[in-house]
Amino acid sequence: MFGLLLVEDEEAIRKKLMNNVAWADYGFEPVLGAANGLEALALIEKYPVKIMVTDVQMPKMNGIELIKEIKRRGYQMKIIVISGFAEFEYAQESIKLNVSDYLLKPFASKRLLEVALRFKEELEKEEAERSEMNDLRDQLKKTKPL
Amino acid sequence: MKGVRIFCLSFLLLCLVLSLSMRSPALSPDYVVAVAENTPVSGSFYPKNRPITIAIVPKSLDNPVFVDSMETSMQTAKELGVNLEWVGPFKVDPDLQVKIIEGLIWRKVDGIAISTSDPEKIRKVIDKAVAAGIKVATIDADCPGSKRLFYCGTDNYKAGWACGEAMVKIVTERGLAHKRLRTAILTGGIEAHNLNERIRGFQEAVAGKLDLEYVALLACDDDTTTGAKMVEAYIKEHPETDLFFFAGGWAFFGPTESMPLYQEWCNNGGIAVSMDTFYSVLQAAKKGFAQALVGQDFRKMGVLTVKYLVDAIQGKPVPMEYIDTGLELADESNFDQLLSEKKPWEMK
Amino acid sequence: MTALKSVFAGLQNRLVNTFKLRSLRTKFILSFVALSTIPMVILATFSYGVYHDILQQNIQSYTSEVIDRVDRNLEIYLSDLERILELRNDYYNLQFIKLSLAGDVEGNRKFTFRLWENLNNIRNYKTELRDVSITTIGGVTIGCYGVTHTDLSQNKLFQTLANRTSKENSIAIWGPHPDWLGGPVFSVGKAIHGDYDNFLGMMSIDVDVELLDRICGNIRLGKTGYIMLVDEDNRIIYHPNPELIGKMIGALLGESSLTDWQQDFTTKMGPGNQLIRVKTFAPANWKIIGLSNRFELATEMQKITRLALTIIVSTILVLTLMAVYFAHLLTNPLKELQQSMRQASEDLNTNAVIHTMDEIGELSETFNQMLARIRQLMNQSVQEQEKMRRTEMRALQEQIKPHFIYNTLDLIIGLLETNKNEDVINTVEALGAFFRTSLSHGQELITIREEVEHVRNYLYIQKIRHGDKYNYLIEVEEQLLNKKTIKLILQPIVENAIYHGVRELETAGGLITIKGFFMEDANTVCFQVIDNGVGMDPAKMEDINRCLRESGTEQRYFGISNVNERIRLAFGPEYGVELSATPGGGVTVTIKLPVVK
Repeated sequence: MFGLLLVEDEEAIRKKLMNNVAWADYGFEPVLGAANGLEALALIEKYPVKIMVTDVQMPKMNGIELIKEIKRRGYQMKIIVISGFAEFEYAQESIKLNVSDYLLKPFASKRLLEVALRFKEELEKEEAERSEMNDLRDQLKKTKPL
Repeated sequence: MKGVRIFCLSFLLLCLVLSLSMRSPALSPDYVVAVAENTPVSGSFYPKNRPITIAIVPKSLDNPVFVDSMETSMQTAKELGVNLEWVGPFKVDPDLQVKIIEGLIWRKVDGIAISTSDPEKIRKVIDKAVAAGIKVATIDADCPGSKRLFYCGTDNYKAGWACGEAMVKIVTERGLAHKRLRTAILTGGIEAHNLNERIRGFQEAVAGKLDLEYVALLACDDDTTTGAKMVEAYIKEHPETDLFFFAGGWAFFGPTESMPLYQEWCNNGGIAVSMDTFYSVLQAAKKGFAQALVGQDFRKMGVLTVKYLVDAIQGKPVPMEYIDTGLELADESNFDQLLSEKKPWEMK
Repeated sequence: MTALKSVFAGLQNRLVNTFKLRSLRTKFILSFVALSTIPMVILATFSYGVYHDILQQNIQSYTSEVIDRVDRNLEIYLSDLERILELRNDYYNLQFIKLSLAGDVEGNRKFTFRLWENLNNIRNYKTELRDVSITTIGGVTIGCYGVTHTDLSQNKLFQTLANRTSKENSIAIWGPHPDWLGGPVFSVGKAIHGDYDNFLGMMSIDVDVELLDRICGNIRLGKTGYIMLVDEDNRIIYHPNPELIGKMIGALLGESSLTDWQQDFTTKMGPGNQLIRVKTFAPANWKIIGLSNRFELATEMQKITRLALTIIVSTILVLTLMAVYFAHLLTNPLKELQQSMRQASEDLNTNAVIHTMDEIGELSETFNQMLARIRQLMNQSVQEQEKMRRTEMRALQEQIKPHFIYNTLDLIIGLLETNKNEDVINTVEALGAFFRTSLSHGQELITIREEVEHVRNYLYIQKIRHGDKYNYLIEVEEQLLNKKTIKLILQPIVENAIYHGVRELETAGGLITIKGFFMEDANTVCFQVIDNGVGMDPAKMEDINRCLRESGTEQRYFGISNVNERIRLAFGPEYGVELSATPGGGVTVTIKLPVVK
């Protein structure tokens, strides 16, 4: 289970993000699409989202607000911001909010795939390390009485 | 711009024309009077075939002494069939007398008899008249040295002498002959020859017989009123005068009431002898205004003057140059008789 | 040498300037001088004539007056003499005559003496009397100088009186003749009648002709004019020149002048340009003649003329100087104004500095106002241009929103990735067309066709981006397409309709309708962008409309107010944008433009 949430207000672009990559083939499951931040939050609650791709400019709740809310709620996930803006503030904001990566529109779908895959790998590696550590800790715990 | 220039030019032209036209009626010739031909003033008053005209020129018209002469001369002229004119200045005026005589000469009268008021002035005009062919005589007052034909009148020297003799007689009778006596004389005109002759006669008659001091010579211009006034005034100033000789009777021609001071003087012993024996003079003498009178015969003067002048004009000879008309003596003894013979002048 | 040249050049310049000015100034001077001098000259000419007439009349009336005075004096004198002659019937006179005629010399002596005294007293009444006498028909005359004889036939006076009837009792006059004392006299006499009206003689008075000299002698008519007297035989009896007395008048004035003299005044012209005025002194039938010289009149007139000319010339001189001065006074401000204007034509920031309060001052003030207005308008124009450029730039900037571009490009990539080539082609084409219109710099006005195509391209792109959420409809009248408009007016409105209207709808089915049509008056083009979107709070709509009405770009409503502002800047405040609610929900934006060909 590796959840991917795509937040984009423009329908055509959201469709592009969702459909132009065979996410399932790369182990992304489920692939969710949201038109704005509120929809995104609702989905995050329901599904285990590991990676979120979000546009900045959106109606109702924009990308920055969404990220802030996610942080506040303490969800752990990789966040990739996609934006037409290359402005410095956004970049800064993104870094401050511990945004994982930043993609400037327009981009080819495979670029997003690369980034997503990279993060997936990272996450899976972390997971593996964490399991190893847990095993070690468990072993340690077991050995401690010794 | 062109229009303006034309306008300017025409304006200047207008000014020029106006100024010239205003100037043109100038340049006047000097004032010229055409002189007419000389038309002489016509000379004679009388036609050539007029009757003989003679003129008697007294010293003055207002002197009544000549009345008798005028009357007799006119009567004589009438008898002789000649015109007689009696012309002279109204008052004594030698210059006017000369002018009148000249007028007579201009009128070409045939004869003139003159009572000369100033011989110096009359002499020339007498000669002028004589030169003009006019027979000229003198009457009453002579003009010695002139070319007059004859003199007809009183012998004034003789008359003066008579007055002197009368004076000597009266003074001697009053016993004053030895005394120096202040004597005043009244004359008609200082230049009158006849009067001066009388004064000379008077003075020469008393000379050596009386001791007279001549204190005054009064001249009354033959005027009656003036004579009386002068005498009265003189006596007022000089009551100490002793004797009075009147070379003519002028002072007594008028009313004697005008001489109260003189009358008083006479009453106080003043002695007076006067020429003329006219009615009024006789009256005055009778009142004591004069003690003796010497008269002239003016009637005779008139008659003889006309007669001899007509003779002379008619070419007849005049018997003598000096025609004496005689004297008339009067004193207290014959005053009344003479008064009864004469008549008053009754002229005023 | 150069200095001399520059001076010469300056002089020339001045001359040229004067010449330029000459027009107005010279006209003014000339008309001023002409207007004042022509009436003066005319006046002078007329008054010359009038004065001449008056002078001549005055001379005539003065002469008449003088003659009248002479006439009166003679008459008064004569009446005095007549009164004296009333003494003729005195008792003494009659007695003298009677006695004289009777030849009574003795009886007459009293009257003779009395008469002498009386007559002499009478003579002394008046200094001019030479003799007063009484003459009898017997030819005897008694007068002041005694008694004379008179040739009656030679005595005109006696003859005149003797030939009269006893009723005719007036005086008779015998003109100047010599009396026997030599002097010239004239005689005045009256007849003496006896008890039976029988003619006895006359009383007469000889008057020295010196009297005439006394009456007429000191009279001068002008400088050389004088009075003379002529008796009934036309013999001169008085003339200032004694040599002429006794001469005939014809010799002096010409024979022709003797005739047609009337009783009263007659004026004639005599020789030597003499003005002759004649009056008959009736009692003696003498003529009183006043002679005045007309040349003196001319001399007088010449004096007047000289004076008038001097006055006229000096007045013209003064007037000319005044005119020059006034012209200077008037044209100088004009000249200054002209200079100010010339300066202003080069530099609008100058001001005419004129302080006169007259029309020229007002003109200068108006000119200054005009300059100020021009400056203001120019500033305004510059500002408006600037604003226009700025708003247009802003509009353009709005067009090239990176978001739009990147999203579109992103979309294209997406389409390519899904092999939807047809869509890609269309989208790129639309995008190209869209930017061609947006970026068409330098061209302020474009056809409505282009504008509509632009918004159609925009909508196409947007439609691709936003999918089936909404649809659009473009209904623009065909005739409208060739008219012009400023560009980029529909797109911002449509953008608003999408983002604030139809895209906000929960469900699909949004519709944006773009209508273009002529208003009823055919002078206004009207566009309407109608959406059936979520609509707008009425208060907000009111706020927006207020902002639009007040003009200026309102930052809050940038897109719509930018359009509104640009329309107003380009076409005036009566045009612009207005919002209204679409019946059944949504917003309708109405754009009004003038018809521009």
